[in-house]
Amino acid sequence: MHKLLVIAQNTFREAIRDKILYSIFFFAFLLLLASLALGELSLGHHIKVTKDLGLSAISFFGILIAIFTGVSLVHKEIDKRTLYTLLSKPIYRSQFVLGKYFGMLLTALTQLALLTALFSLLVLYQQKYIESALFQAILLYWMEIMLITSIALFFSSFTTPFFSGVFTFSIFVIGRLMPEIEILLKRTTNPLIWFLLKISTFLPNLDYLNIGQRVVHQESIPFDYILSSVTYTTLYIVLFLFFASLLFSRRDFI
Amino acid sequence: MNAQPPIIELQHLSKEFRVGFFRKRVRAVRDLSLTVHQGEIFGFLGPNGAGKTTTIKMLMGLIYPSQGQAKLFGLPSDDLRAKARLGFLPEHPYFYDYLTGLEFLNFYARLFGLSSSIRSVRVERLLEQVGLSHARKLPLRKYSKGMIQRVGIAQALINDPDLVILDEPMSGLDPIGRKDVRDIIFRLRDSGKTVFFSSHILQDVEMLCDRVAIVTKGQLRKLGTLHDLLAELSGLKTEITFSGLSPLDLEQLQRLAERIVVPGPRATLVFPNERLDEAVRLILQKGGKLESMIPLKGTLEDLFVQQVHATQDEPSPLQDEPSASTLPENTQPSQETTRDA
Repeated sequence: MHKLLVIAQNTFREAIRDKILYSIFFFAFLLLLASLALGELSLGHHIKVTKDLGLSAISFFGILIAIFTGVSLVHKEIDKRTLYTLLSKPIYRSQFVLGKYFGMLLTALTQLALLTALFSLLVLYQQKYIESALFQAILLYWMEIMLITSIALFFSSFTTPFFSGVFTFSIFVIGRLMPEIEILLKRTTNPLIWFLLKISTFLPNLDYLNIGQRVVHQESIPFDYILSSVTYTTLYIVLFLFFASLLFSRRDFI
Repeated sequence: MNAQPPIIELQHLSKEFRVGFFRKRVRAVRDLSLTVHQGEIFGFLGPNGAGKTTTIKMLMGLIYPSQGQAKLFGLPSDDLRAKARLGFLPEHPYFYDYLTGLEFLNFYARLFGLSSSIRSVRVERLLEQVGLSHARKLPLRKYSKGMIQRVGIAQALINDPDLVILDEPMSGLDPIGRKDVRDIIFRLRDSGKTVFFSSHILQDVEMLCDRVAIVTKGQLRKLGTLHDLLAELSGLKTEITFSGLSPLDLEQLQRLAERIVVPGPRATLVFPNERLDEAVRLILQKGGKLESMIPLKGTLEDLFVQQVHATQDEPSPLQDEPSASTLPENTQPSQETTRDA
Protein backbone atom coordinates (compact mmCIF):
# COMPACT_ATOMS: atom_id res chain seq x y z
CA MET A 1 0.00 0.00 0.00
CA HIS A 2 2.86 2.34 0.86
CA LYS A 3 4.50 1.86 -2.57
CA LEU A 4 1.17 2.39 -4.26
CA LEU A 5 0.81 5.73 -2.47
CA VAL A 6 4.37 6.75 -3.41
CA ILE A 7 3.56 6.14 -7.08
CA ALA A 8 0.21 7.91 -6.73
CA GLN A 9 1.90 10.92 -5.16
CA ASN A 10 4.49 11.07 -7.93
CA THR A 11 1.76 10.82 -10.58
CA PHE A 12 -0.09 13.66 -8.91
CA ARG A 13 3.09 15.72 -8.81
CA GLU A 14 3.69 15.05 -12.50
CA ALA A 15 0.13 16.01 -13.43
CA ILE A 16 0.02 19.23 -11.44
CA ARG A 17 3.31 20.30 -12.99
CA ASP A 18 1.76 19.89 -16.43
CA LYS A 19 0.59 23.19 -17.89
CA ILE A 20 -2.12 21.61 -20.07
CA LEU A 21 -4.14 20.67 -17.01
CA TYR A 22 -4.04 24.27 -15.84
CA SER A 23 -5.48 25.36 -19.18
CA ILE A 24 -8.36 22.90 -18.85
CA PHE A 25 -8.95 24.07 -15.29
CA PHE A 26 -8.82 27.69 -16.36
CA PHE A 27 -11.54 27.15 -19.01
CA ALA A 28 -13.71 25.30 -16.51
CA PHE A 29 -13.27 28.21 -14.11
CA LEU A 30 -14.27 30.68 -16.84
CA LEU A 31 -17.33 28.63 -17.77
CA LEU A 32 -18.47 28.59 -14.15
CA LEU A 33 -18.13 32.35 -13.96
CA ALA A 34 -19.97 32.65 -17.28
CA SER A 35 -22.81 30.59 -15.83
CA LEU A 36 -23.33 33.37 -13.31
CA ALA A 37 -23.46 36.02 -16.03
CA LEU A 38 -25.76 33.91 -18.23
CA GLY A 39 -28.00 33.27 -15.24
CA GLU A 40 -28.35 37.00 -14.68
CA LEU A 41 -29.34 37.46 -18.34
CA SER A 42 -32.05 34.81 -18.36
CA LEU A 43 -35.34 36.13 -17.04
CA GLY A 44 -36.70 34.34 -14.01
CA HIS A 45 -34.59 31.18 -14.35
CA HIS A 46 -31.19 32.57 -13.48
CA ILE A 47 -30.48 30.12 -10.67
CA LYS A 48 -31.46 27.15 -12.86
CA VAL A 49 -29.09 28.33 -15.60
CA THR A 50 -26.26 28.70 -13.12
CA LYS A 51 -26.89 25.24 -11.66
CA ASP A 52 -27.32 23.61 -15.06
CA LEU A 53 -24.25 25.17 -16.60
CA GLY A 54 -22.20 24.71 -13.45
CA LEU A 55 -22.96 21.00 -13.16
CA SER A 56 -22.35 20.53 -16.89
CA ALA A 57 -18.99 22.32 -16.60
CA ILE A 58 -17.95 20.09 -13.68
CA SER A 59 -18.96 16.97 -15.59
CA PHE A 60 -17.51 17.97 -18.96
CA PHE A 61 -14.16 19.22 -17.69
CA GLY A 62 -13.91 16.33 -15.27
CA ILE A 63 -14.30 13.87 -18.14
CA LEU A 64 -11.77 15.85 -20.19
CA ILE A 65 -9.21 15.71 -17.35
CA ALA A 66 -9.95 12.00 -16.80
CA ILE A 67 -9.38 11.10 -20.45
CA PHE A 68 -6.33 13.34 -20.76
CA THR A 69 -4.56 12.00 -17.68
CA GLY A 70 -5.80 8.44 -18.22
CA VAL A 71 -4.46 8.07 -21.72
CA SER A 72 -1.27 10.09 -21.38
CA LEU A 73 0.35 9.35 -18.04
CA VAL A 74 0.93 5.60 -18.38
CA HIS A 75 1.94 5.92 -22.00
CA LYS A 76 4.45 8.61 -21.07
CA GLU A 77 6.12 6.22 -18.62
CA ILE A 78 6.54 3.67 -21.41
CA ASP A 79 7.43 6.11 -24.14
CA LYS A 80 10.02 7.96 -22.07
CA ARG A 81 11.28 4.67 -20.63
CA THR A 82 10.95 5.92 -17.04
CA LEU A 83 9.07 2.68 -16.51
CA TYR A 84 12.24 0.62 -17.00
CA THR A 85 13.82 2.01 -13.86
CA LEU A 86 10.58 2.02 -11.92
CA LEU A 87 9.77 -1.64 -12.61
CA SER A 88 13.30 -2.65 -11.62
CA LYS A 89 12.41 -1.55 -8.09
CA PRO A 90 10.59 -3.94 -5.75
CA ILE A 91 7.06 -3.16 -6.92
CA TYR A 92 4.43 -5.31 -8.61
CA ARG A 93 3.17 -4.15 -11.94
CA SER A 94 -0.34 -4.07 -10.49
CA GLN A 95 0.94 -1.65 -7.82
CA PHE A 96 2.19 0.57 -10.60
CA VAL A 97 -1.20 0.47 -12.39
CA LEU A 98 -3.16 1.16 -9.22
CA GLY A 99 -0.68 3.82 -8.07
CA LYS A 100 -1.09 5.57 -11.41
CA TYR A 101 -4.87 5.29 -11.12
CA PHE A 102 -5.01 6.82 -7.67
CA GLY A 103 -2.58 9.55 -8.73
CA MET A 104 -4.82 10.39 -11.67
CA LEU A 105 -7.88 10.40 -9.43
CA LEU A 106 -6.15 12.65 -6.95
CA THR A 107 -5.38 15.05 -9.80
CA ALA A 108 -8.90 15.02 -11.22
CA LEU A 109 -10.63 15.17 -7.86
CA THR A 110 -8.44 18.01 -6.57
CA GLN A 111 -9.39 20.11 -9.55
CA LEU A 112 -13.03 19.07 -9.29
CA ALA A 113 -13.06 19.91 -5.58
CA LEU A 114 -11.92 23.43 -6.45
CA LEU A 115 -14.55 23.72 -9.17
CA THR A 116 -17.20 22.34 -6.82
CA ALA A 117 -16.21 24.89 -4.19
CA LEU A 118 -16.51 27.70 -6.72
CA PHE A 119 -19.84 26.35 -7.95
CA SER A 120 -21.17 26.18 -4.39
CA LEU A 121 -20.14 29.78 -3.79
CA LEU A 122 -21.94 30.88 -6.95
CA VAL A 123 -25.12 29.05 -5.96
CA LEU A 124 -24.92 30.43 -2.43
CA TYR A 125 -24.39 33.92 -3.80
CA GLN A 126 -27.53 33.63 -5.92
CA GLN A 127 -30.01 31.80 -3.73
CA LYS A 128 -28.44 32.15 -0.26
CA TYR A 129 -28.67 28.41 0.41
CA ILE A 130 -27.49 25.24 -1.31
CA GLU A 131 -29.49 22.04 -1.56
CA SER A 132 -27.87 18.68 -0.77
CA ALA A 133 -29.25 17.23 -4.02
CA LEU A 134 -26.65 19.28 -5.91
CA PHE A 135 -23.91 17.44 -4.05
CA GLN A 136 -25.59 14.11 -4.86
CA ALA A 137 -25.38 15.03 -8.54
CA ILE A 138 -21.75 16.06 -8.14
CA LEU A 139 -20.96 12.83 -6.29
CA LEU A 140 -22.30 10.80 -9.21
CA TYR A 141 -20.29 12.95 -11.66
CA TRP A 142 -17.22 12.19 -9.57
CA MET A 143 -18.07 8.49 -9.80
CA GLU A 144 -18.38 8.84 -13.56
CA ILE A 145 -14.97 10.52 -13.72
CA MET A 146 -13.44 7.72 -11.63
CA LEU A 147 -14.94 5.19 -14.01
CA ILE A 148 -13.78 7.01 -17.16
CA THR A 149 -10.26 7.26 -15.69
CA SER A 150 -10.22 3.49 -15.10
CA ILE A 151 -11.42 2.88 -18.67
CA ALA A 152 -8.73 5.18 -20.10
CA LEU A 153 -6.14 3.38 -17.98
CA PHE A 154 -7.42 0.00 -19.18
CA PHE A 155 -6.94 0.98 -22.83
CA SER A 156 -3.58 2.58 -22.02
CA SER A 157 -2.35 -0.77 -20.76
CA PHE A 158 -2.24 -2.17 -24.28
CA THR A 159 -2.72 0.49 -26.93
CA THR A 160 -1.56 3.94 -28.02
CA PRO A 161 -2.83 7.20 -26.47
CA PHE A 162 -4.76 8.05 -29.64
CA PHE A 163 -6.72 4.81 -29.66
CA SER A 164 -7.09 4.88 -25.87
CA GLY A 165 -8.61 8.35 -26.18
CA VAL A 166 -10.93 7.36 -29.02
CA PHE A 167 -12.09 4.15 -27.31
CA THR A 168 -12.61 5.84 -23.95
CA PHE A 169 -14.54 8.73 -25.45
CA SER A 170 -16.68 6.27 -27.46
CA ILE A 171 -17.54 4.35 -24.30
CA PHE A 172 -18.42 7.63 -22.60
CA VAL A 173 -20.75 8.63 -25.46
CA ILE A 174 -22.35 5.16 -25.67
CA GLY A 175 -22.75 5.14 -21.89
CA ARG A 176 -24.51 8.49 -21.89
CA LEU A 177 -26.78 7.39 -24.78
CA MET A 178 -27.78 4.13 -23.11
CA PRO A 179 -31.53 5.01 -22.75
CA GLU A 180 -31.68 5.75 -26.50
CA ILE A 181 -29.77 2.55 -27.27
CA GLU A 182 -32.25 0.53 -25.24
CA ILE A 183 -35.17 2.07 -27.16
CA LEU A 184 -33.46 1.37 -30.50
CA LEU A 185 -32.77 -2.18 -29.44
CA LYS A 186 -36.49 -2.79 -29.04
CA ARG A 187 -37.37 -1.21 -32.37
CA THR A 188 -34.64 -2.41 -34.76
CA THR A 189 -35.29 -5.30 -37.12
CA ASN A 190 -31.76 -5.45 -38.58
CA PRO A 191 -29.95 -8.35 -36.88
CA LEU A 192 -26.49 -6.76 -37.25
CA ILE A 193 -27.59 -3.49 -35.69
CA TRP A 194 -29.43 -5.42 -33.00
CA PHE A 195 -26.25 -7.38 -32.26
CA LEU A 196 -24.10 -4.24 -32.05
CA LEU A 197 -26.62 -2.49 -29.84
CA LYS A 198 -26.88 -5.54 -27.63
CA ILE A 199 -23.12 -5.60 -27.14
CA SER A 200 -23.20 -1.89 -26.23
CA THR A 201 -25.58 -2.62 -23.39
CA PHE A 202 -22.79 -4.53 -21.61
CA LEU A 203 -20.88 -1.26 -21.32
CA PRO A 204 -21.48 0.91 -18.26
CA ASN A 205 -24.71 2.86 -18.38
CA LEU A 206 -23.53 6.37 -17.60
CA ASP A 207 -27.04 7.76 -17.76
CA TYR A 208 -27.48 6.41 -14.23
CA LEU A 209 -24.82 8.88 -13.13
CA ASN A 210 -26.16 11.87 -15.01
CA ILE A 211 -28.79 13.26 -12.65
CA GLY A 212 -27.84 16.93 -13.05
CA GLN A 213 -30.97 17.86 -15.00
CA ARG A 214 -33.26 16.08 -12.55
CA VAL A 215 -31.64 17.86 -9.61
CA VAL A 216 -31.87 21.25 -11.30
CA HIS A 217 -35.56 20.63 -11.87
CA GLN A 218 -36.04 19.89 -8.18
CA GLU A 219 -36.73 16.21 -8.64
CA SER A 220 -35.97 14.34 -5.46
CA ILE A 221 -33.47 11.53 -5.80
CA PRO A 222 -33.88 8.60 -3.39
CA PHE A 223 -30.85 7.65 -1.34
CA ASP A 224 -31.14 4.05 -2.58
CA TYR A 225 -30.68 5.28 -6.12
CA ILE A 226 -27.43 7.06 -5.21
CA LEU A 227 -26.18 4.03 -3.30
CA SER A 228 -26.95 1.57 -6.08
CA SER A 229 -25.38 3.88 -8.71
CA VAL A 230 -22.22 4.18 -6.61
CA THR A 231 -22.08 0.38 -6.18
CA TYR A 232 -22.75 -0.20 -9.88
CA THR A 233 -19.93 2.18 -10.89
CA THR A 234 -17.52 0.78 -8.32
CA LEU A 235 -17.99 -2.73 -9.71
CA TYR A 236 -17.16 -1.51 -13.21
CA ILE A 237 -14.12 0.39 -11.90
CA VAL A 238 -12.82 -2.74 -10.16
CA LEU A 239 -13.39 -4.75 -13.35
CA PHE A 240 -11.53 -2.29 -15.58
CA LEU A 241 -8.66 -1.93 -13.10
CA PHE A 242 -8.40 -5.70 -12.78
CA PHE A 243 -8.08 -6.15 -16.54
CA ALA A 244 -5.72 -3.17 -16.84
CA SER A 245 -3.44 -4.78 -14.22
CA LEU A 246 -3.69 -8.18 -15.86
CA LEU A 247 -2.80 -6.91 -19.34
CA PHE A 248 -0.05 -4.70 -17.99
CA SER A 249 1.44 -7.55 -15.95
CA ARG A 250 1.67 -9.80 -18.99
CA ARG A 251 3.12 -7.23 -21.31
CA ASP A 252 6.70 -7.04 -22.59
CA PHE A 253 8.36 -3.64 -22.37
CA ILE A 254 10.62 -3.64 -25.38
CA MET B 1 32.04 -25.58 -4.58
CA ASN B 2 30.24 -22.41 -3.64
CA ALA B 3 27.13 -23.29 -1.59
CA GLN B 4 25.54 -19.91 -2.25
CA PRO B 5 23.49 -19.61 -5.43
CA PRO B 6 25.07 -17.50 -8.16
CA ILE B 7 24.10 -13.83 -8.05
CA ILE B 8 22.93 -14.05 -11.68
CA GLU B 9 21.98 -17.27 -13.38
CA LEU B 10 20.73 -17.42 -16.94
CA GLN B 11 19.57 -20.86 -18.01
CA HIS B 12 18.98 -21.47 -21.73
CA LEU B 13 17.43 -18.07 -22.08
CA SER B 14 15.70 -17.37 -25.40
CA LYS B 15 13.46 -14.61 -26.60
CA GLU B 16 11.39 -14.40 -29.73
CA PHE B 17 9.23 -11.51 -30.79
CA ARG B 18 6.44 -11.39 -33.30
CA VAL B 19 6.52 -8.22 -35.34
CA GLY B 20 4.66 -6.59 -38.17
CA PHE B 21 1.39 -7.35 -39.83
CA PHE B 22 2.37 -10.93 -40.66
CA ARG B 23 3.65 -11.52 -37.13
CA LYS B 24 7.09 -12.36 -38.45
CA ARG B 25 9.31 -14.13 -35.96
CA VAL B 26 12.34 -12.24 -34.67
CA ARG B 27 14.68 -14.13 -32.41
CA ALA B 28 16.65 -11.71 -30.27
CA VAL B 29 18.32 -14.13 -27.83
CA ARG B 30 19.05 -17.84 -28.31
CA ASP B 31 19.82 -20.38 -25.63
CA LEU B 32 21.95 -18.08 -23.51
CA SER B 33 23.35 -19.55 -20.29
CA LEU B 34 25.78 -17.95 -17.90
CA THR B 35 26.37 -17.37 -14.22
CA VAL B 36 27.82 -14.44 -12.33
CA HIS B 37 29.17 -14.90 -8.81
CA GLN B 38 29.40 -12.62 -5.84
CA GLY B 39 32.01 -9.89 -5.99
CA GLU B 40 32.60 -10.18 -9.71
CA ILE B 41 32.69 -7.34 -12.19
CA PHE B 42 31.18 -8.96 -15.23
CA GLY B 43 31.31 -7.39 -18.69
CA PHE B 44 28.56 -8.21 -21.17
CA LEU B 45 29.79 -7.35 -24.63
CA GLY B 46 28.42 -7.46 -28.12
CA PRO B 47 27.88 -5.30 -31.16
CA ASN B 48 24.65 -3.34 -31.65
CA GLY B 49 21.72 -5.68 -32.07
CA ALA B 50 23.49 -8.61 -30.40
CA GLY B 51 20.74 -9.12 -27.82
CA LYS B 52 22.45 -7.47 -24.83
CA THR B 53 19.65 -5.12 -23.90
CA THR B 54 17.01 -7.81 -24.47
CA THR B 55 18.93 -10.09 -22.10
CA ILE B 56 19.23 -7.35 -19.49
CA LYS B 57 15.50 -6.61 -19.81
CA MET B 58 14.73 -10.28 -19.20
CA LEU B 59 16.95 -10.10 -16.12
CA MET B 60 15.01 -7.07 -14.94
CA GLY B 61 11.63 -8.72 -15.54
CA LEU B 62 10.73 -6.10 -18.14
CA ILE B 63 10.23 -8.75 -20.79
CA TYR B 64 9.44 -12.41 -20.31
CA PRO B 65 11.65 -15.13 -21.79
CA SER B 66 10.15 -17.31 -24.52
CA GLN B 67 12.21 -20.16 -23.10
CA GLY B 68 14.61 -20.64 -20.23
CA GLN B 69 14.93 -18.82 -16.97
CA ALA B 70 16.65 -15.78 -15.50
CA LYS B 71 17.44 -15.92 -11.81
CA LEU B 72 18.82 -13.33 -9.43
CA PHE B 73 20.13 -14.46 -6.04
CA GLY B 74 18.62 -17.88 -6.79
CA LEU B 75 15.13 -16.35 -7.17
CA PRO B 76 13.08 -15.72 -10.32
CA SER B 77 14.15 -12.36 -11.68
CA ASP B 78 10.74 -10.73 -11.07
CA ASP B 79 10.67 -11.77 -7.40
CA LEU B 80 10.46 -8.65 -5.24
CA ARG B 81 13.00 -10.05 -2.76
CA ALA B 82 15.52 -10.18 -5.61
CA LYS B 83 14.61 -6.69 -6.81
CA ALA B 84 15.08 -5.31 -3.29
CA ARG B 85 18.79 -6.25 -3.57
CA LEU B 86 19.24 -4.91 -7.07
CA GLY B 87 20.24 -1.61 -8.65
CA PHE B 88 19.67 -0.94 -12.33
CA LEU B 89 20.67 1.75 -14.80
CA PRO B 90 19.01 1.37 -18.22
CA GLU B 91 20.64 2.32 -21.50
CA HIS B 92 20.07 5.98 -22.49
CA PRO B 93 18.14 6.67 -19.31
CA TYR B 94 15.39 9.22 -19.23
CA PHE B 95 13.90 10.14 -15.91
CA TYR B 96 11.04 12.21 -14.54
CA ASP B 97 12.21 15.58 -15.77
CA TYR B 98 9.74 17.53 -13.62
CA LEU B 99 11.49 16.30 -10.46
CA THR B 100 14.60 17.84 -8.94
CA GLY B 101 17.60 15.57 -8.34
CA LEU B 102 16.69 15.48 -4.66
CA GLU B 103 13.02 14.63 -5.27
CA PHE B 104 13.98 12.02 -7.84
CA LEU B 105 16.28 10.09 -5.50
CA ASN B 106 13.83 10.42 -2.62
CA PHE B 107 11.06 8.99 -4.79
CA TYR B 108 13.06 5.83 -5.52
CA ALA B 109 14.29 5.59 -1.94
CA ARG B 110 10.67 5.57 -0.74
CA LEU B 111 9.89 2.65 -3.07
CA PHE B 112 12.42 0.65 -1.06
CA GLY B 113 10.68 1.66 2.14
CA LEU B 114 13.73 3.51 3.51
CA SER B 115 13.03 5.63 6.56
CA SER B 116 13.29 9.39 6.14
CA SER B 117 16.48 9.61 8.24
CA ILE B 118 18.28 6.94 6.17
CA ARG B 119 16.86 8.48 3.02
CA SER B 120 18.17 11.94 3.62
CA VAL B 121 21.67 10.75 4.54
CA ARG B 122 21.89 8.35 1.61
CA VAL B 123 20.49 10.76 -0.96
CA GLU B 124 22.95 13.47 0.04
CA ARG B 125 25.86 11.01 0.08
CA LEU B 126 25.01 9.65 -3.37
CA LEU B 127 24.56 13.11 -4.85
CA GLU B 128 27.99 13.96 -3.54
CA GLN B 129 29.47 10.68 -4.78
CA VAL B 130 28.27 11.30 -8.35
CA GLY B 131 29.24 14.97 -8.22
CA LEU B 132 25.74 16.45 -8.34
CA SER B 133 25.42 18.09 -4.93
CA HIS B 134 25.35 21.49 -6.59
CA ALA B 135 22.43 20.46 -8.84
CA ARG B 136 20.32 18.80 -6.17
CA LYS B 137 17.51 21.36 -6.41
CA LEU B 138 17.59 21.66 -10.19
CA PRO B 139 14.82 19.93 -12.18
CA LEU B 140 16.15 17.01 -14.22
CA ARG B 141 15.01 18.69 -17.43
CA LYS B 142 17.88 21.13 -16.90
CA TYR B 143 20.47 18.36 -16.49
CA SER B 144 22.97 17.61 -19.27
CA LYS B 145 23.26 14.10 -20.69
CA GLY B 146 26.25 13.38 -18.47
CA MET B 147 24.41 14.64 -15.38
CA ILE B 148 21.42 12.40 -16.21
CA GLN B 149 23.78 9.44 -16.46
CA ARG B 150 25.26 10.34 -13.06
CA VAL B 151 21.92 10.75 -11.33
CA GLY B 152 20.93 7.47 -12.98
CA ILE B 153 23.87 5.76 -11.32
CA ALA B 154 22.89 7.37 -8.00
CA GLN B 155 19.34 5.94 -8.25
CA ALA B 156 20.80 2.52 -9.03
CA LEU B 157 22.69 2.65 -5.72
CA ILE B 158 19.90 4.12 -3.57
CA ASN B 159 19.08 0.81 -1.87
CA ASP B 160 22.73 -0.09 -1.24
CA PRO B 161 22.27 -3.04 -3.63
CA ASP B 162 24.20 -6.31 -3.62
CA LEU B 163 24.03 -6.45 -7.41
CA VAL B 164 24.24 -3.52 -9.80
CA ILE B 165 23.26 -3.96 -13.43
CA LEU B 166 24.41 -1.14 -15.67
CA ASP B 167 23.44 -1.00 -19.34
CA GLU B 168 26.05 1.13 -21.13
CA PRO B 169 26.96 3.17 -18.04
CA MET B 170 29.75 5.09 -19.79
CA SER B 171 27.50 6.30 -22.58
CA GLY B 172 27.36 10.09 -22.76
CA LEU B 173 30.14 10.63 -20.27
CA ASP B 174 33.31 12.62 -20.84
CA PRO B 175 36.68 11.09 -19.82
CA ILE B 176 36.39 12.49 -16.30
CA GLY B 177 32.86 11.14 -15.98
CA ARG B 178 34.01 7.74 -17.23
CA LYS B 179 36.78 7.69 -14.68
CA ASP B 180 34.30 8.59 -11.93
CA VAL B 181 32.05 5.71 -12.99
CA ARG B 182 35.02 3.34 -13.06
CA ASP B 183 35.94 4.46 -9.55
CA ILE B 184 32.37 3.85 -8.37
CA ILE B 185 32.41 0.36 -9.89
CA PHE B 186 35.74 -0.44 -8.19
CA ARG B 187 34.40 0.88 -4.88
CA LEU B 188 31.36 -1.37 -5.28
CA ARG B 189 33.57 -4.38 -5.90
CA ASP B 190 35.76 -3.49 -2.92
CA SER B 191 32.68 -3.52 -0.71
CA GLY B 192 31.73 -7.01 -1.91
CA LYS B 193 29.07 -6.01 -4.45
CA THR B 194 28.59 -7.64 -7.82
CA VAL B 195 28.51 -5.54 -10.96
CA PHE B 196 27.14 -6.69 -14.31
CA PHE B 197 27.49 -4.20 -17.10
CA SER B 198 27.29 -3.93 -20.83
CA SER B 199 29.53 -1.57 -22.69
CA HIS B 200 30.85 -0.70 -26.10
CA ILE B 201 33.91 0.91 -24.63
CA LEU B 202 36.30 -2.04 -24.60
CA GLN B 203 39.03 -0.08 -22.92
CA ASP B 204 36.82 0.36 -19.86
CA VAL B 205 35.82 -3.29 -19.92
CA GLU B 206 39.47 -4.34 -20.04
CA MET B 207 40.25 -2.10 -17.10
CA LEU B 208 37.29 -3.19 -14.98
CA CYS B 209 36.17 -6.71 -15.63
CA ASP B 210 37.07 -9.98 -13.98
CA ARG B 211 35.09 -11.96 -16.52
CA VAL B 212 33.40 -11.16 -19.79
CA ALA B 213 30.80 -12.66 -22.08
CA ILE B 214 30.66 -11.83 -25.76
CA VAL B 215 27.34 -12.21 -27.54
CA THR B 216 26.65 -11.82 -31.22
CA LYS B 217 23.39 -12.48 -33.02
CA GLY B 218 21.69 -13.38 -29.77
CA GLN B 219 24.09 -16.18 -28.89
CA LEU B 220 26.85 -16.44 -26.35
CA ARG B 221 30.16 -16.82 -28.20
CA LYS B 222 32.81 -16.42 -25.53
CA LEU B 223 32.69 -16.57 -21.75
CA GLY B 224 35.58 -16.52 -19.34
CA THR B 225 38.12 -14.49 -17.45
CA LEU B 226 39.82 -11.80 -19.47
CA HIS B 227 43.14 -13.48 -18.79
CA ASP B 228 42.02 -16.84 -20.21
CA LEU B 229 40.25 -15.38 -23.21
CA LEU B 230 43.17 -13.17 -24.17
CA ALA B 231 45.56 -16.06 -23.68
CA GLU B 232 43.69 -17.85 -26.47
CA LEU B 233 44.57 -14.97 -28.72
CA SER B 234 48.28 -14.84 -27.91
CA GLY B 235 50.33 -16.17 -30.76
CA LEU B 236 47.84 -15.02 -33.33
CA LYS B 237 49.97 -12.11 -34.47
CA THR B 238 53.66 -11.38 -34.71
CA GLU B 239 55.49 -8.09 -34.89
CA ILE B 240 58.48 -8.17 -37.25
CA THR B 241 61.21 -5.56 -37.50
CA PHE B 242 63.43 -5.71 -40.59
CA SER B 243 65.60 -3.52 -42.87
CA GLY B 244 67.23 -3.52 -46.27
CA LEU B 245 64.22 -3.81 -48.55
CA SER B 246 63.61 -1.62 -51.61
CA PRO B 247 60.50 0.64 -51.49
CA LEU B 248 58.81 -1.64 -54.06
CA ASP B 249 59.44 -4.81 -52.00
CA LEU B 250 58.38 -2.97 -48.86
CA GLU B 251 55.11 -2.05 -50.51
CA GLN B 252 54.52 -5.69 -51.44
CA LEU B 253 55.22 -6.75 -47.86
CA GLN B 254 52.93 -4.10 -46.43
CA ARG B 255 50.07 -5.66 -48.33
CA LEU B 256 50.52 -8.82 -46.23
CA ALA B 257 50.70 -6.89 -42.98
CA GLU B 258 47.78 -6.12 -40.70
CA ARG B 259 49.25 -2.82 -39.63
CA ILE B 260 52.37 -0.73 -39.81
CA VAL B 261 53.93 0.14 -36.48
CA VAL B 262 57.03 1.97 -37.79
CA PRO B 263 57.32 2.85 -41.50
CA GLY B 264 60.54 3.49 -43.41
CA PRO B 265 63.66 1.53 -44.43
CA ARG B 266 63.88 -0.01 -40.94
CA ALA B 267 60.23 -0.96 -40.62
CA THR B 268 58.13 -2.69 -37.99
CA LEU B 269 55.00 -4.42 -39.20
CA VAL B 270 52.42 -6.67 -37.55
CA PHE B 271 51.41 -9.82 -39.41
CA PRO B 272 48.68 -12.34 -38.66
CA ASN B 273 50.37 -15.68 -38.06
CA GLU B 274 48.75 -17.32 -41.06
CA ARG B 275 50.70 -14.91 -43.25
CA LEU B 276 53.88 -15.02 -41.18
CA ASP B 277 55.74 -17.66 -43.23
CA GLU B 278 55.00 -15.83 -46.43
CA ALA B 279 56.19 -12.53 -44.99
CA VAL B 280 59.45 -13.95 -43.61
CA ARG B 281 60.13 -15.76 -46.90
CA LEU B 282 59.57 -12.54 -48.83
CA ILE B 283 61.91 -10.51 -46.59
CA LEU B 284 64.68 -13.07 -46.95
CA GLN B 285 64.13 -13.64 -50.69
CA LYS B 286 64.37 -9.92 -51.39
CA GLY B 287 67.62 -9.64 -49.46
CA GLY B 288 66.19 -7.97 -46.37
CA LYS B 289 67.57 -8.37 -42.86
CA LEU B 290 65.31 -9.77 -40.14
CA GLU B 291 66.03 -7.92 -36.91
CA SER B 292 63.34 -9.19 -34.54
CA MET B 293 60.16 -11.24 -34.35
CA ILE B 294 57.88 -10.76 -31.33
CA PRO B 295 54.67 -12.77 -30.82
CA LEU B 296 51.95 -10.27 -29.76
CA LYS B 297 49.52 -10.57 -26.90
CA GLY B 298 45.89 -10.26 -28.01
CA THR B 299 43.64 -7.45 -26.84
CA LEU B 300 39.98 -7.48 -25.97
CA GLU B 301 39.36 -5.53 -29.13
CA ASP B 302 41.02 -8.29 -31.18
CA LEU B 303 38.85 -10.87 -29.48
CA PHE B 304 35.71 -8.80 -29.96
CA VAL B 305 36.40 -8.14 -33.63
CA GLN B 306 37.33 -11.78 -34.18
CA GLN B 307 34.03 -12.94 -32.71
CA VAL B 308 31.95 -10.43 -34.63
CA HIS B 309 33.70 -11.31 -37.90
CA ALA B 310 33.45 -15.04 -37.26
CA THR B 311 29.70 -14.85 -36.99
CA GLN B 312 28.86 -12.17 -39.51
CA ASP B 313 28.32 -14.61 -42.36
CA GLU B 314 26.25 -17.02 -40.31
CA PRO B 315 22.93 -17.75 -41.89
CA SER B 316 20.73 -16.07 -39.40
CA PRO B 317 17.06 -16.22 -38.61
CA LEU B 318 17.75 -13.21 -36.46
CA GLN B 319 17.08 -9.66 -37.19
CA ASP B 320 18.64 -6.88 -35.25
CA GLU B 321 18.01 -6.59 -31.59
CA PRO B 322 14.49 -5.24 -31.24
CA SER B 323 14.57 -1.53 -31.53
CA ALA B 324 12.10 1.21 -32.22
CA SER B 325 12.46 0.51 -35.92
CA THR B 326 11.94 -3.23 -35.81
CA LEU B 327 9.33 -3.61 -33.15
CA PRO B 328 6.03 -1.84 -32.71
CA GLU B 329 5.93 0.71 -29.97
CA ASN B 330 3.30 -1.21 -28.10
CA THR B 331 3.72 -4.87 -28.76
CA GLN B 332 0.41 -6.49 -28.18
CA PRO B 333 0.40 -9.34 -25.74
CA SER B 334 0.68 -12.57 -27.69
CA GLN B 335 1.87 -16.05 -27.08
CA GLU B 336 5.47 -15.09 -27.70
CA THR B 337 5.56 -11.80 -25.94
CA THR B 338 3.64 -12.55 -22.81
CA ARG B 339 4.01 -14.82 -19.92
CA ASP B 340 1.74 -17.82 -19.75
CA ALA B 341 -1.24 -17.14 -17.54
